[in-house]
Amino acid sequence: MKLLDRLFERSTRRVAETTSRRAALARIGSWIVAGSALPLLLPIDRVAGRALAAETGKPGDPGDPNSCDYWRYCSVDGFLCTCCGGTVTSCPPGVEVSQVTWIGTCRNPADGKDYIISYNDCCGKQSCGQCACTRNDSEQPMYRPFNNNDINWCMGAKSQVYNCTLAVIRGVAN
Amino acid sequence: MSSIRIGPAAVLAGALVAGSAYADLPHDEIGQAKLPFPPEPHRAYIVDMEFDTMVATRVSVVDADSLRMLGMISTGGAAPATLSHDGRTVFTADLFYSRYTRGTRTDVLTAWDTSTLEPAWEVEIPPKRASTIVQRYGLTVSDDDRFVYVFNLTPATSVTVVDVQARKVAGEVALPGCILNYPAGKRRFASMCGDGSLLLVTLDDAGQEVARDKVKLFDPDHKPLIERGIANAGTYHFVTLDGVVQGVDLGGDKPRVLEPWSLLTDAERKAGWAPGGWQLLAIAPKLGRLYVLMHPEHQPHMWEDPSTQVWIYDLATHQKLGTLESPNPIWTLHATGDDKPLLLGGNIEGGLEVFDLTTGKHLGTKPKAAKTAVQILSH
Repeated sequence: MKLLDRLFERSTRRVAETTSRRAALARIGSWIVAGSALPLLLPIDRVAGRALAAETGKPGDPGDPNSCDYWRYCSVDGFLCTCCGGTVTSCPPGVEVSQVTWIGTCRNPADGKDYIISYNDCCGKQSCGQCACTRNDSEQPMYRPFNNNDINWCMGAKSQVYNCTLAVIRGVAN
Repeated sequence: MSSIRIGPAAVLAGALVAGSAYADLPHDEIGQAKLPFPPEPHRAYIVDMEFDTMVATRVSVVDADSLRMLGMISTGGAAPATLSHDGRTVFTADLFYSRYTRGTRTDVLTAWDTSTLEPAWEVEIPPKRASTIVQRYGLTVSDDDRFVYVFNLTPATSVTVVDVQARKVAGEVALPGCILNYPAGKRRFASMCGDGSLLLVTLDDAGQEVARDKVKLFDPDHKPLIERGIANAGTYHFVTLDGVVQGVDLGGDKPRVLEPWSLLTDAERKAGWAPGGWQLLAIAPKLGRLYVLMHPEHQPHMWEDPSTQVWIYDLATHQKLGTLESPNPIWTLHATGDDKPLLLGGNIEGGLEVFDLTTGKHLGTKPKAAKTAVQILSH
């Protein structure tokens, strides 16, 4: 996992998960596919299989918000604000939230319900560089911009400079 | 200055003793390198969006034959870049803040001299330039180099038209529901729309819109295609997520949608092969060949995955001609336009992979050509 973690941190916003996985594949052979990389492709399996080391502490909201596997991150693409000095719903100090955002739908493993999650970007300081996470479960090409995460969604903030990404519950999807 | 002629043995002996047998070197002149004009066809411009900051970004210039760096262009805020057809200019659409990451935003179109790599001129443009992972068709030039088109996303979409001759903004064209700008001829560009159509905007010689038209190209709900296509002689080639090539000829008065064709046999598709990557298509015009990044074990979310495999197709017959294998996964492709073309691949470490397309040989890797290589351009 160490190598995989290191590769994650080096990677780019959209390239993040995919290239890391591929680089790992290219370098260290297929054992990691079974051992580590495959669960990255299957986040639900990963959640089920993890010891849930750092729970949110909230009943009904299982998982570790510092981990790319946390259920709300199912369509995230970027650096996790929880690793950058913020929380899953708060930007790091001195970093402004962009209110213009794109949304995904993620299933909460605790109650089996689908939640609408907005992936607001936090803006005004350069890339945080911690916990790059790309899951793209529902991404579409850019002509569907509100379903696309190759766009820098800092466009609603004073500064377009991207720092990290939140995962905010906006309601239960019907 | 005196010069003393001595034999080789004496030189060796002298060097061993004191190293003083040579005449003093003349004092140096400090200079500044300049690149030749016209530019070499294998000069590669690698758009480096430096994902780990994305504030001070660059275009690194590399000689793909010698794998040596030739220089750099400093850009602002993950700027897209494009080349003029006359070989003289690199255009970048830069975004700057007066306090680096904060303060007053200034967007400029910068015109860089391809020999000095210095800014020749700039035009301030509306502070709307799209901020995305850099797309090939986010910044383009009309066929006659008269107008530059800058894609805006606020999230309302539009194109800023810059008059290169007058060095000023000619106007802004609203593109409701459509993205990017695919130049077509001297006074037209297309834009790809969420309803699966291409919007065609025709300009006059002042850069003002005089006509707009729409043509249905694809079904975004059932057969979505990837917006990062590639042009060859007025025809754009796109690929759907499941590997069907859709061409559209924008060279004539009216757009002509071409017959789709598949990159994959049924057996290959069944075996899990699919296209993927960022700039996943390239065309070598002199060979009439299309190059596509392909990967095995495809799943739907892998449509932008990098790959070590490039599949080669004849553009005329649609036959698969072979494959190229890269030592490192590639995310972005470009083929040079000369008659001894190279295929250039930006690998996931920021290195440049170089293939000779005449022989099909991998010629080498230039490590660290960029930090985050997202587009590659050549003259």
